[in-house]
Amino acid sequence: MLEAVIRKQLRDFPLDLSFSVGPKEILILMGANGSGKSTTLNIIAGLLQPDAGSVCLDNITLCDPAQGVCIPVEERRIGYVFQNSAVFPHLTVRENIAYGLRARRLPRNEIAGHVDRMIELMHLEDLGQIRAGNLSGGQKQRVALGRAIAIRPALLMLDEPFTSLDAESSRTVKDLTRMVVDELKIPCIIISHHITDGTDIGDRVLLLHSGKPVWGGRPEDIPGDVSVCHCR
Amino acid sequence: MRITGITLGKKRYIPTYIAACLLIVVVTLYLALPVIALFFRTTPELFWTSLSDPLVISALWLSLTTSVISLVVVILVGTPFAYIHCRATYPGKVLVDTLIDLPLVLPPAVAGFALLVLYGRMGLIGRYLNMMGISVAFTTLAVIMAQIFVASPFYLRQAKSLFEQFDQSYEHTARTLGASPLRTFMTITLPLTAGGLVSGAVMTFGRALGEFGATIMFAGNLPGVTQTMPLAVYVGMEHNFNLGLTISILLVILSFAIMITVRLLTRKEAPRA
Repeated sequence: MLEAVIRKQLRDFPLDLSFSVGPKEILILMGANGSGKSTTLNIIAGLLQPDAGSVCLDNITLCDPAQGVCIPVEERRIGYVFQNSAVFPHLTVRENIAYGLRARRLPRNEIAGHVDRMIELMHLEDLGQIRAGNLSGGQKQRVALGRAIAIRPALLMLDEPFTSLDAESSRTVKDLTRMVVDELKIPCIIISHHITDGTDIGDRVLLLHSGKPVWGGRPEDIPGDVSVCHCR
Repeated sequence: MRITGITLGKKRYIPTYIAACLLIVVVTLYLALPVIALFFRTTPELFWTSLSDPLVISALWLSLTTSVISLVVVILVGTPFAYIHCRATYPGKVLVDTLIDLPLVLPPAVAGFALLVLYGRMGLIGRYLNMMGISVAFTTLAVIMAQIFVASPFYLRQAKSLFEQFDQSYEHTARTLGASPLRTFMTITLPLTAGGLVSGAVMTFGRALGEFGATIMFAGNLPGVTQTMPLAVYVGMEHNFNLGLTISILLVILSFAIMITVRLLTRKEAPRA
């Protein structure tokens, strides 16, 4: 369970929102460019510090400036897939997936087992030894997803994961994300500009405008005028 | 021949065509002729005989060892410095940025003089070092210090530009996966910028190898101790022309090899960028 209360003064407006995401729940964070979506994820991940508020994950406080709590990024157990997938181009697919496991100093045979399972889960069987820089957009996104969940995160966050994918790849990544979230029983936040992503995969939508939530609810209930005004 | 957007086949373009050809020929010859002249003034026999002269060997050995040591110091100190400088915000950052580039525009003789004023026997720091029995000026250490001062901006500028342009989402991903800042730097940032850093290092080595002004001011011209190849060329010109010629040819060959290496490295890097 993720519980976040975030306050941060951005350049043009204050980011001020609070929300929670339960296990197996996918929250779609929507809003226009520059509305504070990526900043929100970066604060939860620990890449940015909030001015006030708190971020709690499974009853552990990750960040609370008032109490002087700030768990370092590398200790937060958050799987974060960036907008450009950020697969490490100089490493093979296997090395990419193993990266987090090696950083956590797991035994070598355990790493190999985990990587094999991720390769199979993400349908990357023939690509294990290929350098990640040579993959297509959809393949990169699957590698990034496999790499993020290989560390068995307590929270999964994806920043516009479907933007540069064709319809088929987008469907595959959505199905895989849903399967992983259900299997690991973890909360998940996805940033998207498209209402269809909300209806396809989301359990709940939170619409941001200039750092504040303007609408929240089930994807199928989102009013048309709200989505048009705030998502473009 | 084609100039972007214009095919120089038609009659009315003939003057442009001739002017363009002339311009290319003049610039190329201006740059190449002095270098070519060096090769025409010697014979292979004379070159090989001069090459075994103790003065040439000691200057070559001293130049190579001091340049390699300078390069290693610049890489070991300059890489983390450039990275921290790019990622951190601190007071006086703009001033530091300017100071990094200063040796590029400072006349090398002034750089050598400044080093002498600081580290010389009566210098600001030198007088205290002298009290402890440490002498810096007019030693091989002074050669290395002069080379580092003059050549380091070539590496620092390149490293700074690479780290500034580097997509930070790679580093952020590595951190969220559990990597420490040091591990992230060693396994992600460094390998992905290595090609550019190597080309910066090659340029730095070339500049250190050719350093003359700061070295002669700060380290002097002592054979076997501070007399590097450029200094030996200067001495050779006055006392033994053939020796000067041989060392000059050696430096031309080394410089050419350095430039080719840089070109190959930057060409290999291009698709990734």
